[in-house]
Amino acid sequence: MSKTINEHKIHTHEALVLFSPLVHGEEVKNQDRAIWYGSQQVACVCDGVTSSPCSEQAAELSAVCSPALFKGPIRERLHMVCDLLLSRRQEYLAKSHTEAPDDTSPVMQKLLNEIIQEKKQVAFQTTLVAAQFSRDQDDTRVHLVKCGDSAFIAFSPDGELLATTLTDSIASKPQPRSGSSCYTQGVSFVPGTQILVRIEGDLADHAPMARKAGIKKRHLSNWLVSSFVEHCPDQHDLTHTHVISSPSLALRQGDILLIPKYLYGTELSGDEQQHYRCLTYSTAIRSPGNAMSCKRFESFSQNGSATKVLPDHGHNDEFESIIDTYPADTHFILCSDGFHGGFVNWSQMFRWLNRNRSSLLNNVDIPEILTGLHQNLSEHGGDDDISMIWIYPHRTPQSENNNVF
Amino acid sequence: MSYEQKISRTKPGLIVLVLDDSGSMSDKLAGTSDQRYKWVERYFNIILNLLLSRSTEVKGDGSVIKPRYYVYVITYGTQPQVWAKGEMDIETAVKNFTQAGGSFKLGGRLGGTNAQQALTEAYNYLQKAVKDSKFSDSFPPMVFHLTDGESHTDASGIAQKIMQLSTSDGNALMVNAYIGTKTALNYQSPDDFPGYVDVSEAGRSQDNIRLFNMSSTVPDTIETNLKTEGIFPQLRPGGRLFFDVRTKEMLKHVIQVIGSMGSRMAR
Repeated sequence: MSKTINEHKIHTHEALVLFSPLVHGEEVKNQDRAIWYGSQQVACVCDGVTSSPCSEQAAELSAVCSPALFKGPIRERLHMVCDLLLSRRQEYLAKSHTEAPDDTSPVMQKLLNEIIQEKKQVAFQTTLVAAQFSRDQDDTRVHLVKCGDSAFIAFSPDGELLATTLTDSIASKPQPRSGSSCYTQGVSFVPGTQILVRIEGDLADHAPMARKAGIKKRHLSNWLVSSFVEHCPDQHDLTHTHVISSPSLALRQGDILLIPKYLYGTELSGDEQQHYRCLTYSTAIRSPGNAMSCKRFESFSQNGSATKVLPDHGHNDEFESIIDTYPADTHFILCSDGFHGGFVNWSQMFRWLNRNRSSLLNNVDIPEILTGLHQNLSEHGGDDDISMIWIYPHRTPQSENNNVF
Repeated sequence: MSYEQKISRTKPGLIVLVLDDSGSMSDKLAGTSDQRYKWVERYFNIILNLLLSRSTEVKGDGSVIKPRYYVYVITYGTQPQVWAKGEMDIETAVKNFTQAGGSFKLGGRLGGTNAQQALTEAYNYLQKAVKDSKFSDSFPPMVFHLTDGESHTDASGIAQKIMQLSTSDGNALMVNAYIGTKTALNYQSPDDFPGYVDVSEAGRSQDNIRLFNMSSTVPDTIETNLKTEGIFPQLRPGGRLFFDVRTKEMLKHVIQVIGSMGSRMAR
């Protein structure tokens, strides 16, 4: 009896790393670092802060240490990386004798020396976005750690945006943590907690809601409409308790939530007409009650004037740590703002990925692709180092034959 | 989309300062014992140093100043005068400023208040500057006009012409700061300053109304920067770059508007 050669389970992820420093004349910026650790299934992108001396070293050190972040309690591990950066800063302050050039006037020398001393106090700063990927039965489990404006994106093979840290949606906006306490505005649904929802039906039967939530017609069948019933107070994953700021949803009883069908949760019994599920928090859950957040879900929000950075903000616990579950065929992007800054919204980015997929995977025309990215970025706000890691399920003969992601 | 560009060496920011140096600038600023022009120079010292700091990178054992900002300074009374060498990069500007004792040589010595001619000087310079490859793709230039008295001439027309000039990233911005005027807006300090959205909030003074109408609408980028940097945290969207200066604290924050240009340069 012949074997079916196309039945291959997806066991691990592969990744494509794209990196291009900003070059201006003879000057090369080169402050981004992007590393994929295939054997440990860890991806990390770090972006050194331009105004911080030795930031490229900070990015290098943080990226190299990234697999260690997932080998213990995340807060301790991140603090360790921050301590390393702070130690390097202290050494730099102690040994470095940077001074203003002698050919300036004494007044200017004094002024420049003050500026230099001020800048050295914030040496070794970098952003960080790191993720570890693992199999969770038939799904992909992702542990994401993030500090700063480097980004994480999860999407389905046909381009449906499942989660992103780039938008204005409530789910991506850090809120002060409060555990399971009830506000006058409702309950806070945060990473590591669970809620009870009642399933109201398929999103395909609620077209106006789908439009409000910004979900495309071809993806409607992937979603369920549910209503919030109550918080599950005993279910709280301590992994997330150390994070000061984390994404959250504020819910009142009856609030409508859109849930991707792959978030099965635990189906509980109800009467014949009603189905209940117990759901763990996921960044993929949407709240169409906040029309603004849903409208902007696919639009990349404009960065403010400052980003959080290691070691300073990381040491103050101002980072995000989220464990989430996605379908096994989900793709992921980790990138610096030099990559995502060239795109206005997800649709634009996905079109670019789709258009260049074959070239990127086959290492063809890479210099031209990178030149195009730099030009694009320059038009959108100013050129920068560009780094991106595209993590995808291990390619199988089936997926190759079907020419899908 | 406009007003997206970051300030960088390849796309530097351009600031044109148009500073009233009429006799009344030697009056004391309300609530202080120093003349208005002294406070103006004191706070310009801070913003110029900030722009220099943003342009300075520490590399190894040395530092390098990358010209990310350029300034062109016009002082005026009855007639405008161009300060120092005209257009200067920020390092040269700070050198000239510090060597002059932290001063633009203001003193309330230039007689009357002819805003129209001063802004015409600004327009004539900017008209060429926006076509220069150095600035043509930069964040649009900012004309920062600071006055403390009713102008003897109507600068509305020339201000509109300035606001029609543009780089590839948008139209030039016209900021008007009026020291000592009274308006209908209720606020206590920069912390609760809501901004002027409707002309009625500028009050009944024809001069206020004229300056309000001469001011650009605040772009989203600048609004974000002013709020997140704590300069005007309560600023309402859709307001104008028109500011009344009632106190020295307000003067300090208004002058910091200059530093809000640019979709943020690398942090």
